[in-house]
Amino acid sequence: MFPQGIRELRERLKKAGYICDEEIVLTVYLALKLNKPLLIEGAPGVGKTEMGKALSRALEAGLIRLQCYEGLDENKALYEWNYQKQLIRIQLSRELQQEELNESDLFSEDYLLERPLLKAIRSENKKVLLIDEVDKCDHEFEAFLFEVLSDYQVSIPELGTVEARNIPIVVLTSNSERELSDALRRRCIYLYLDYPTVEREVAIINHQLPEAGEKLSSNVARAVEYLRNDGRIQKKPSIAETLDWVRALVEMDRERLTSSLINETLNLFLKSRNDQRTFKEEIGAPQMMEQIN
Amino acid sequence: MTRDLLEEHLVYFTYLLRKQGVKAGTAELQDALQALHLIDPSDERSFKTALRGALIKKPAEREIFEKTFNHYFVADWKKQQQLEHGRKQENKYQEQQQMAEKELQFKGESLDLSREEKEVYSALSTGDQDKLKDFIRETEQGKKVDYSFKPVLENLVKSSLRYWKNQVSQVPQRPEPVTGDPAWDWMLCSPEGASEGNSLANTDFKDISSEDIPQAVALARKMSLRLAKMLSRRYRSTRKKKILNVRGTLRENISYGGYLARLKYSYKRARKPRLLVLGDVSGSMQRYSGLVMTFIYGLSWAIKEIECFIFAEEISRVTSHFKKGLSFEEVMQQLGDHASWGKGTCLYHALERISADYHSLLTPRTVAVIISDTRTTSLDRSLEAFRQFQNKVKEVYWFTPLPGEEWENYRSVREFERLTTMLPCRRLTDLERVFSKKIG
Repeated sequence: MFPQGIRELRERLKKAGYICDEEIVLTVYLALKLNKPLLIEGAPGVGKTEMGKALSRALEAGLIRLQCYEGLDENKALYEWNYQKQLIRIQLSRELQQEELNESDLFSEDYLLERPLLKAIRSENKKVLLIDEVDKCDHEFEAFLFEVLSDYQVSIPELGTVEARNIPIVVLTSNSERELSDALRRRCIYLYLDYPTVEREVAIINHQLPEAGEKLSSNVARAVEYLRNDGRIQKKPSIAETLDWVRALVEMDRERLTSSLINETLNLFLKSRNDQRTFKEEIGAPQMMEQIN
Repeated sequence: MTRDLLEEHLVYFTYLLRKQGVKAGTAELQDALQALHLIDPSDERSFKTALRGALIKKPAEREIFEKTFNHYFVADWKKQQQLEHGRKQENKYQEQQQMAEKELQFKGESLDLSREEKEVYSALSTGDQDKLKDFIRETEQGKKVDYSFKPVLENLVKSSLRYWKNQVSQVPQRPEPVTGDPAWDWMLCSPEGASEGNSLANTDFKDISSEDIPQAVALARKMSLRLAKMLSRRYRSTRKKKILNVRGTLRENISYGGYLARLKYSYKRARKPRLLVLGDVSGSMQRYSGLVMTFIYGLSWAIKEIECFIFAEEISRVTSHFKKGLSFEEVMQQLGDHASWGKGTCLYHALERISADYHSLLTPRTVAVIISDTRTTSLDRSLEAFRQFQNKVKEVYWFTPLPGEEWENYRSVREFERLTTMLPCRRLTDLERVFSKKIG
């Protein structure tokens, strides 16, 4: 399962549909070898979450995903007691006048609901644990998280300490909406993902949509790069949006970009009214075509 | 490179990073060493990537890493050459400072001038330096001019240098002592290898060229939006108005057989502060007001309870301009027609008008942010108006674009600093850091 070297990891990621630079592969490889969580930051849509998924496919390890959000707590991330089942058990024992219930009868594994973190720790096989958008969770949960990630063990008061059967491969992603604590950062190998270069994006398009053709892929990759470098555009097109755009153009049976085609398909790569207005009034499709040709 | 030598270099490299604010401790250093054993250290790209992954943990640290790496891990002869260049720059700088001390003397004693004032003197042409020296000499020779006249002369020279500061195009500035070795400080402060985004964020507003302004505006907007999202997501526990947590309560009471013996409460979201921003758009703030407005524009997008005023000789409430969903350029166009831009400052008038006409905005939940260089007419009256204004709000933060080392030189800054928290806002990073730490 574990890649023997950087080259093998790169090949496996490519097979899993993730095409990236050598430096990214190397950083991921180091995180795997050093058994450290991988913290990925970068603008939305550069492939942070996809890295976690691709890694799971590349290493043939199951993916367990924990989507972070405001208010996420231990009960939703680690474990919870199935209290409905426990109440029924209490009621049943009362109704049926069974022998007295002990606390340990109720707080046993039968009543334990495993949430993603516990599932990843107790899994028989190595898993990829994707903790997505960790910047969206609260400070308290973040503090709890780095305790779990440093020892790979959790303490359940009623059951005792649960140690990891297999240390999961942990991938954390963040959009930097909130500054993460230094303590969490220190426990991770850090990777900053930037938008891909034109060549890399062409390779991604060709890999995902081989029917697009060289000309169209190159046109779209250049157009998207042009927009990403323009300071007036606030929401830069992501890789997924690039692919959606190409997919639509392929469906429309187009082989290359034109000014009118850009205007017709504007909604596919610019997703805010302000950006669309800026594009139409200040940038313009003909000017963009001039730049990308 | 032997293992010992590699470790030695790595330790010093990490030390340099740490001195520049990168939080790389012993654990990170160990990770870096382990990582180097897993790669081919003779491959520069792998070597750099391994160190970056292990030592750098924040986007903002990447530029520091790149720069330091590019200067540190070069051929030995090149590094020595660069360090030698740094040493020469330091020596030249020290000579200029000594020269200024020697030339600007009154009755054989050096004038008490700040480092920056001496820097301005060094940047003057020989002719202008001579004029200043002649002025001191003539003053010295005046009738009834004794040693007690020195503070008066110092003030005159300081005013003259303040004037020249805005006239001289390039004032030689020494880098902040960071690493403990001036040669390294000079080397690391060179603009080589800095990425545009981060370097703009760290550039003094007054040094941003007009071509870079659209880029800086976009960056300010991005930073303020990020900050605004952060401000809107703070939670705090409260003892008042608790909300019953049904799930938590059931779970807590299972051990009591399902009887509700103990209640559990959920947290309540803390109310965001109401922000009241007062931007000084007078002549002395000209270079700063535009970018500060950009920052406020970004904040106004995400924070509902924000009130904005601009002031100089008059004050105007401009909140509505920010709330119309207009583009920044449109907002600035509308604000540009305002008569106050570029005039003098009358702070007491602004504060008194707000207290009288907009008193409903001044509540115990209001956090006021004043962005001004403190230069105002009628300082004493302004101080009194400020005291009264301060009593009506929760907190006042004062952002000033004046360099920290100059604060002592201005009575207005000294007086206001006694009353409130004075914060620097010369760079976009200053604004972001201070807003997130103090107001968030």
